[in-house]
Amino acid sequence: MKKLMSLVFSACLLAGLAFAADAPKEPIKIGEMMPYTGGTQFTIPFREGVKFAIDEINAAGGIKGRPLEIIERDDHASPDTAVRLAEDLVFHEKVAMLMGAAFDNVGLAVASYANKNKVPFLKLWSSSCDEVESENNDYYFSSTPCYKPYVGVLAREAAKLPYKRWATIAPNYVYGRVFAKYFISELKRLRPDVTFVAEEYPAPGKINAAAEVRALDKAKPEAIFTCILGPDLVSYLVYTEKVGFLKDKFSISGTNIGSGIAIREFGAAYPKGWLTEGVPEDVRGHPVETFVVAFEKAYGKRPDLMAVYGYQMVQLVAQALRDAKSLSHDDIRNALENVSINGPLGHVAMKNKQLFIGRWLGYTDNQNGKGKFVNAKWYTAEDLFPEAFGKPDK
Amino acid sequence: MSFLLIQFLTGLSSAAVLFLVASGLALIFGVTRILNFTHGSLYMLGAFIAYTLTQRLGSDGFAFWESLLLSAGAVGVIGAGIEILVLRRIYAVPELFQLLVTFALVLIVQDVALYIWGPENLLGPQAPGLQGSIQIFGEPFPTYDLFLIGMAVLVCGGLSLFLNKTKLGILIRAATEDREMIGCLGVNQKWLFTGVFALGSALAGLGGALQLPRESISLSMDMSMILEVFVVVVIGGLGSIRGAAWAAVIVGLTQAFGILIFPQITLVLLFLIMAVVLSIKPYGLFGSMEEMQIEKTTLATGAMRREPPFAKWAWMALGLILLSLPLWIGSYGLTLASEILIMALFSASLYFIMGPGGIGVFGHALYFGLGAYTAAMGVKYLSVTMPLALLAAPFVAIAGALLFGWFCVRSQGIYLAMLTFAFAQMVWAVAFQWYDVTGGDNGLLGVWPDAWVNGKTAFYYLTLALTGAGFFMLRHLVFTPFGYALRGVRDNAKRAEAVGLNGPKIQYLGLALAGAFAGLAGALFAYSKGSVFPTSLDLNTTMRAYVMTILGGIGSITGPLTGSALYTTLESEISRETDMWRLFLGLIILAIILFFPRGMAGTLSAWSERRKEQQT
Repeated sequence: MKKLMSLVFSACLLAGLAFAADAPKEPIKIGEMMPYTGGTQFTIPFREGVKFAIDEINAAGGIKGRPLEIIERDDHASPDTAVRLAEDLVFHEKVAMLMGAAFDNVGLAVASYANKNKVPFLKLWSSSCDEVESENNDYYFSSTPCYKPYVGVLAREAAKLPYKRWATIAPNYVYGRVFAKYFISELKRLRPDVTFVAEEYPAPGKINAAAEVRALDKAKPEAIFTCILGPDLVSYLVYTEKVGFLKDKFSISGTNIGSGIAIREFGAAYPKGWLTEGVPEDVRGHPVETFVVAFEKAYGKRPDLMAVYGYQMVQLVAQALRDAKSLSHDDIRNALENVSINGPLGHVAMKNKQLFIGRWLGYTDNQNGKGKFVNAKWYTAEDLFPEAFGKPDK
Repeated sequence: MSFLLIQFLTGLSSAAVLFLVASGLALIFGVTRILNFTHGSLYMLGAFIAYTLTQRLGSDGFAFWESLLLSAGAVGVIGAGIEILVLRRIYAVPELFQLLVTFALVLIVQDVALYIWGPENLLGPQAPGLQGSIQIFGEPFPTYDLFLIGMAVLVCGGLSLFLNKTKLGILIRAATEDREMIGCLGVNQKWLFTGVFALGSALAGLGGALQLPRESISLSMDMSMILEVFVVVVIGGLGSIRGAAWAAVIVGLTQAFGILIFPQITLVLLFLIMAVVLSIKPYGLFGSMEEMQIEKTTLATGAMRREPPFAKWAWMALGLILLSLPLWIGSYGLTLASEILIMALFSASLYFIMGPGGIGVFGHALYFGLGAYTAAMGVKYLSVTMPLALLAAPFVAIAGALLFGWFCVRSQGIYLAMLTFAFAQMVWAVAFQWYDVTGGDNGLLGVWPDAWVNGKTAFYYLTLALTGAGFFMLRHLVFTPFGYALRGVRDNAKRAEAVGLNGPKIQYLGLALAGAFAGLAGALFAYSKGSVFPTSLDLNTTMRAYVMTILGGIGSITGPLTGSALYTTLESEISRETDMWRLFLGLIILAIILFFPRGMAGTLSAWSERRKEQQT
């Protein structure tokens, strides 16, 4: 027995040595903070996409000969927690850069920390343009354009429509207000004949659907720019369905409701005929197809849009690490500044610290209680943001 | 005219849901005297279970209503289970401990629900036959909302019949009036309590299940409902069903019309109503002074002794360890240590008002947040230097405490606690909405320390010096004549008055002092994080300090320090290992209160006393 044990022991030791000899390269660590707990469903597909990308990159030999590793942390959707985690990641785990922090307030706190400690930080999504426009925010990057270009695209679509009486409803968050205000100013600029007859800002998470709908109804709008999301949007949809409020009105959703999570979440209440961003069922011929096929093979299910974002984010980080002269924080920062990839959402590029990406715009549909995203049209980043790519505005 | 009528009905339908859930809470409070945070979780479970049942049993005709009733029944059984397994063991411990136990249960239910139903929000089926709307004076009104109003009237009538006409109901009312008397009459209190808890829980479950056709079922339903229902029950007068009904109607209608007249007010309206009602009637609409006298919040921990002689050595050893920390703990450890010290000072200020002061407050984060915002706004708008900001923060907090405390000390017990909460929520709403000045939910950024303390070690020593000074001042205050007076008022208000102490005035000053230290902690916190958000003013921040104080032990000023160290480390370590950190945190809180009710520091000192007794 004793002999057997010592045999096992030496085998282990040998294996350990062999492993050590085979992998002298320490992984490159990336610190990721996301609100994994607290009813944030989108983090699950995001995590899957991240993991898929990491596996793919490491199978192909890693970066600069070193494997890539993601250190995941739950930021509890709290900015204070996130700052503490960032400290742990930067000084304890010695990560090359930070990413994630989906919520605005969390992202802003981390951005402030990242700038102070000169650590590059790539935020998932962005809404505030102040951050990218600010001179003191050299280490902050966002994985989507900030609200001005983002909402600008929707305002451009809205301007093509015949409606003249518009209303907005957005959550009483800072982002809700800036989304609505910017939509109003852009649409008015493009279409001086348009009037805005109501602006509603319900309390986030506590919408009183009846009161909001009645306030909107009183103003008699023809079209509504809707930014509320999650349970608030569902309460609103359920109520409008009951009283038939939206039957003769057009809606644009400022939040993406055309992909898997929203379609599942809204169930039978999924609206009809809203213009929104989303993902169509049929993606044949699109750059995302390869990812979808490979993901389906690996996980046995269709990836959510959030999985695509997670995948794209890691691809982007990997490219920046490849481009960087060294793995110092400053070199990575410099590489991030002009990084671009041909990823699942086509050619995307970092300009002015924001990533300009392509997207599908289309319409929601509901047939027999089942939601669908239809008539989707793909727009490349260059189509959507000609100004950012140095082309004249069409 | 028709517009007003519809708005009136809209208000009544939200009142209906509030009443269904609040009546259960009032019933439970009336008999068990536990302010039950878990009630919101039971409401959420009701919705989730009803969803699952409609998926299994189908959602047309009879099956839908059957699912709703079954769900209410199931939640009743769960409630009974909670009462038997947990709450039954803690009827004798102070109210705030009970509150913390129910808070721990909230955390546990959160993760259990997440595990069972997953993170995605769910939308249930529409009620068969009640999908559309009917025309009332030419305006559409949802049929289901009308049905809800009817349902609430039915439950209200049923409850009052039950409480007035049946023997069991009369026993419950008797228990509400005088718990001990009913025990003397030979009634088995244990099962009476369990029964009431089951009934109250079933009402919460029914309220949740009835939400199925109205909104999506999500994991955030519990907290958003429990806060509203607390307010309703407090406005009505704790334990009064009639009060809950009237309060629900008042809240429902004021919100329905308030939104139309002044939409910005939605976030504060609820708390404004509560503050106004409690300022006029300090015990709610139908609550009475007497029951508060019987059940006065006591955290009386016996006589407060000066520390034994060896404590001096222990303090010195601790001081040496803290001083030498930067030499060996590393950068992250140092950041963690700073955070522990800051939160310990904040908890100690809560301890001061809660332990020696004997006043339970739910809004202590108000002063913490005021301090944090003072620092941030000073840096942002006036470019003040750090010493000035740190000096100003406690004074702004004192000013806040003097302003709000004036209203608060006129109430007592849970009413007082809820008033402090109301003011904290109002200031939170201001910080949340006044984004030109406060940055709204995006907060104020770039509040970093001045260059001379910008390094982590320097900042740590500054924190250590300030929190250390704060600690010793608080500890000293407990043994000053003022400290004795505070404890005198806590232990027996009448006798204290007889020897010439002005109780409310002393408590008022106590609140202001506690506020000052919370404000200092808040300002330090702002500098340590580099940013300030409205979350620094919310209930979570207060609850953190509560958990820390009680974890460490309410018996001594060392409690908050132990508690803060324990809590911060646990939170940081558990969430590193698992996504289910709330479950573990909840279980740990539960275990500590059930097995070490005196907290960590308290248990240690009890243990050393016992050893000493054995030796002599």
